[in-house]
Amino acid sequence: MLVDLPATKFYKMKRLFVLLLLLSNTVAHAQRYYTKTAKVTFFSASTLENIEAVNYQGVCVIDATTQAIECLVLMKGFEFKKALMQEHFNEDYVESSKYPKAEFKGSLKNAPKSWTTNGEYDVVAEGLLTMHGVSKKISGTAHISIKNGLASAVSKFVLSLNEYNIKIPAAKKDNINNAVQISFVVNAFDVLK
Amino acid sequence: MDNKTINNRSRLLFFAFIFCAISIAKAQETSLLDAVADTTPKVEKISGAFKSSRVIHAHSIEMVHKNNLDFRILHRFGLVSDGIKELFGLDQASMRMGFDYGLSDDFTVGVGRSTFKKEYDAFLKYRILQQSTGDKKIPVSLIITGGAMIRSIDEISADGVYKLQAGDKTSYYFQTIVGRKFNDKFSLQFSPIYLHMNYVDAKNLDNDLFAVGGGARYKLSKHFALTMDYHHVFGSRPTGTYDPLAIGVDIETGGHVFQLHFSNAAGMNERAFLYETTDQFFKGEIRFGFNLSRMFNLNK
Repeated sequence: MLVDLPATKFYKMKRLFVLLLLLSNTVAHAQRYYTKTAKVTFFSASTLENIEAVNYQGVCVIDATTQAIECLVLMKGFEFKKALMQEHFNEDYVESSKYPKAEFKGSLKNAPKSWTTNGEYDVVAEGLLTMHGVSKKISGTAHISIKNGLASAVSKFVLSLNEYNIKIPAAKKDNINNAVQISFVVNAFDVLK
Repeated sequence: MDNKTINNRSRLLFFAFIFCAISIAKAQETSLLDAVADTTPKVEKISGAFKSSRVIHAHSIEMVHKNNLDFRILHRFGLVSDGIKELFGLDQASMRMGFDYGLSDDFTVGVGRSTFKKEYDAFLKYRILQQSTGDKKIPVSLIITGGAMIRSIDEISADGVYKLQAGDKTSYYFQTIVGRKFNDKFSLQFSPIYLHMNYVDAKNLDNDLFAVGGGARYKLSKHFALTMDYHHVFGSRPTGTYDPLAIGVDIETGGHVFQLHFSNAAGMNERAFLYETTDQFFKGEIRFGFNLSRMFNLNK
């Protein structure tokens, strides 16, 4: 009995310490927002035909405290109206079995400090876009609007296929434009717990 | 007893610390995306084992996409060995024109007509299994197809007394195809075929034939591939008929696929190339031929 008493005290303190540690852990979690249903479209206009595809499974995570942003799109998720075009996109151009995803990792400028108060924000996103095995520094603008505590975002930018080593054969020059317009739309960000 | 309590407590503490360590590690993850990453593998269907719905002569494991129309023009020429006077066989052309349509991504119907014996053909082709990876792994694609052929040219029996009726000039085939795309370059398929002919011109010949086909594709570049197509026929055919073998290339240019090849077979439907191949490939009795496929998208 005499030996047990100090030990109990010691462990009680330890237990408190553990509890504090756990608590501080959860507090330390940054305020993060995400979506898994961003609508990503790409459009390329050329003399012979327009190439258009849409992907409804864009993933995007934003850390509001550090202003870090990361987005991911699976290439195989792009849907074309023409099945043959989709086949060629995956097999011949982006080679999606070899390079399954496009990924953007960067940071935001002028982003809202609080994502719960209403407001309109024009932000700049800057970072590294990795696609088809090539990483390129890019920057673009986005509009974030917060209404009733829900944040939505729209971003439009242009990518050059040749910068990502996506080659257009000479015979297809009239069908495919090297400049591709990308639009990235998030209807509502969720809070990441 | 006291020691036991302490032991239990320290074990509890140990686990508490482990839990803490894990949650700290989680908070320090390098990528934001890791927090939302989907770890469950998705089912991913493998497509593009072959560039076209035919290897060369035979059906491949590829289907025509839904609401797409594949207009196919096939030519088989004379023997290359005929030389320059016949422009290496190009002076004699035999032709088949056909339309294949995708009712769904897994169901294709097709019709065609060959100049050889003025033969019409029609088929149904259904994909039971499509090769897949991810959550639901399917190692091979499995396809069944069946068709009928009818010759519209006037024919009389070998003894010259019987004029063949339409039913006599009709034949059927049923085929199962098992194939796999091993990697981006190499695909292989096997296909047992059963062929029934309503009328054969001699007692020693079989109305029913069984054949096994083998087809392969090796992609050399994005738009260029080597192909091979062979069938071994079991059962008695007329003397002087041989197994069809074809070696060729697939050239793909957007909506077109050109399948250029050399073969001993001139037939362009299942009955014709299994039953009426009268040349021997390895004796140099080879013909040039091509399949031209033009895909039309009929969506909207």
